[in-house]
Amino acid sequence: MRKTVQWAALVLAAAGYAAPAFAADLVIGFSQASSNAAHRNKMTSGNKEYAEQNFKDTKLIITNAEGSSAKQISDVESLLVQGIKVLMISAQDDQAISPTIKTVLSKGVKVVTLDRSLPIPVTLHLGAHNKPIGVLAGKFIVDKLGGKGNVVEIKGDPAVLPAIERHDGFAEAIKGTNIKVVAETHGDWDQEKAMKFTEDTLQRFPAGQIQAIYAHNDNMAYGALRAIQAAGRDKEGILIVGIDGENKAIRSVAKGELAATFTYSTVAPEGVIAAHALAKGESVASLGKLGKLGKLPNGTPEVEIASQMITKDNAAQFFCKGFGDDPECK
Amino acid sequence: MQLSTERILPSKFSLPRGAGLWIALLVLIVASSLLSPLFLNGTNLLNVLRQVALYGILGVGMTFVILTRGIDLSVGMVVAFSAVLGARLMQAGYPIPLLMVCSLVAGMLFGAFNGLGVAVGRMPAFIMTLGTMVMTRGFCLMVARGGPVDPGPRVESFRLLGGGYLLHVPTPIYVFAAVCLVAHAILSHTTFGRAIFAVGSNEEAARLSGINVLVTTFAVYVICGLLAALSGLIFLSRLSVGDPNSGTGMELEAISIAVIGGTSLFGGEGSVVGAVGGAMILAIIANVLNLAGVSTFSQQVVKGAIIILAVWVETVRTRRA
Repeated sequence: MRKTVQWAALVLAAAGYAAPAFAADLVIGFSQASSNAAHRNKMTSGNKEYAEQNFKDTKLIITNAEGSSAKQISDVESLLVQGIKVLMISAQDDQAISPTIKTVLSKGVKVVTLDRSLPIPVTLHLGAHNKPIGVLAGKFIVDKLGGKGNVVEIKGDPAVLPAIERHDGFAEAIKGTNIKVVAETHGDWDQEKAMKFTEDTLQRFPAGQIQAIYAHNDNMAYGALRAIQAAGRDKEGILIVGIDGENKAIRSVAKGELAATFTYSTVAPEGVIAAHALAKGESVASLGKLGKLGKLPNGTPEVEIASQMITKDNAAQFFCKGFGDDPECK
Repeated sequence: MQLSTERILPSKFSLPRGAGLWIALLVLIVASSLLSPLFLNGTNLLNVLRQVALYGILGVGMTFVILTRGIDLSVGMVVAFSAVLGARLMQAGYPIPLLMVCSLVAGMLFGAFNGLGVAVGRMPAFIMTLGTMVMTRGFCLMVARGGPVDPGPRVESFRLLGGGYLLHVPTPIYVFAAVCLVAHAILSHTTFGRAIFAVGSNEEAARLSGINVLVTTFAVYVICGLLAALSGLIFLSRLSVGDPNSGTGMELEAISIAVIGGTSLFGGEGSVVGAVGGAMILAIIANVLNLAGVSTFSQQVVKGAIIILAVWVETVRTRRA
């Protein structure tokens, strides 16, 4: 008897818990992969804040898988139970999550992938492309150096696609010019590794033998900058180029310490804008205002959010619009 | 008893064991100068020594722990936590001496937590410190709010510790030298030092001869935590940012330094001087391969091979003994 009462209480409690979710007009779920990088946190907070301010009719439920594919699967399942109309997801692992996403789609829920696409077709993918960023960075260096000079390339983690694409784009852009990559390493996105490598490389190439450093992210560009400053070689005018558009890097570009950085979209607030529009029944074609419409190889419609070049001339207008910690952005 | 006192005295063993390490180092230095003419350049040698200092401090802390037959997997995350906490407090306007004390105390607290688990809770050090490592990473990301922490403009006045020079020599080298002198004095010339060796070589015998095993074990983890936090402050000063991801893998670097330096994973054998040698070997390998333009992939292969070689030599030696 007591057991039955307990069960009844539990069921009632569960129903009460779920009720508010059905009360809002639109429920959108956002399954985030992890929270250990500034770019990813901006994706979460940027979309959340935008929804709170602009979509009063919407309840946005955010889950975070903290780097575990298994947790992301149960996160998505729990979102589904809460009656979502659209699922925004940035996958921890594209293979692991795909079967779950198929189930979600079969229930008539629209799926928008953010930053990381999936091998299966979904409603929409939103994100930036890395290869064009590499091309932009390469062209910038070719222009600045007049098509001739020695470059040091500090790559990201060799196991992930962004590092490969940022390299490929760059290699394509400098092909046929007299720009040579004289030293390269995998800095694994890590500032200290980049700094150590640059210290050694500055020894290897005395004054005048390095004209530019191309780092696959701003963090490593910083490491290179610190090494150059510490070695007293900041007067040589070595161009340091980073990628991502971190707030701190944008400040350094304004000060002339870094030559340029290229934004890598955090898909915020574009992610929630697209999800909201789809939940309202708008077509994918109407989302062209967010970026360049296209298609992924698997047929998923895509909105590509283009990278913006930030140099000394335009840095001021990007202050606090990037991501990452910046004490001056309170 | 006779046997254990013999093992307590490191001098009987340090000669043949130490000699091998220094011969290896000498061979490496000669090979490096042949491989790249830039190796013996003054600035380059200072760069190498700075690298030795940055990781050597962790290696010394790890040596203390391994001497008691323990291990501390949490050092890398304590490094990151100390840097991130320092950066956050600097951003909030705390005076520099105060924030340094805060970071160092935090490091000691993590060490004390490890020490409690291992010494009082009798948990295997590997598991206890693994747990602390995961927890510390969580705290670290909390304080950092998930991304690198910019300490603000005041970091320029903090540059001396990790990024500055005294008499044209990088400051971390002085810090490391001081750490080594104190650590060596503790291990070789104090009762506490002898207790560390005794606990590592035979815990039961140490207990019977009146050594406080509990306090000794607890203390080595606190020391290790303190040195990790010190290293974190140096990294904060050097990079001028508190990066929560920067400590990843540093515990393995520290263990490698201790082991290459001849510290036995079975406890009771090892020295600070050995850790210095171990740190030098790893720093020189990384440096000369960069100077020679060798790819990062091959560098990792070489580094791994050296670690295995060091452990193999150690295994062969103990089997013969």
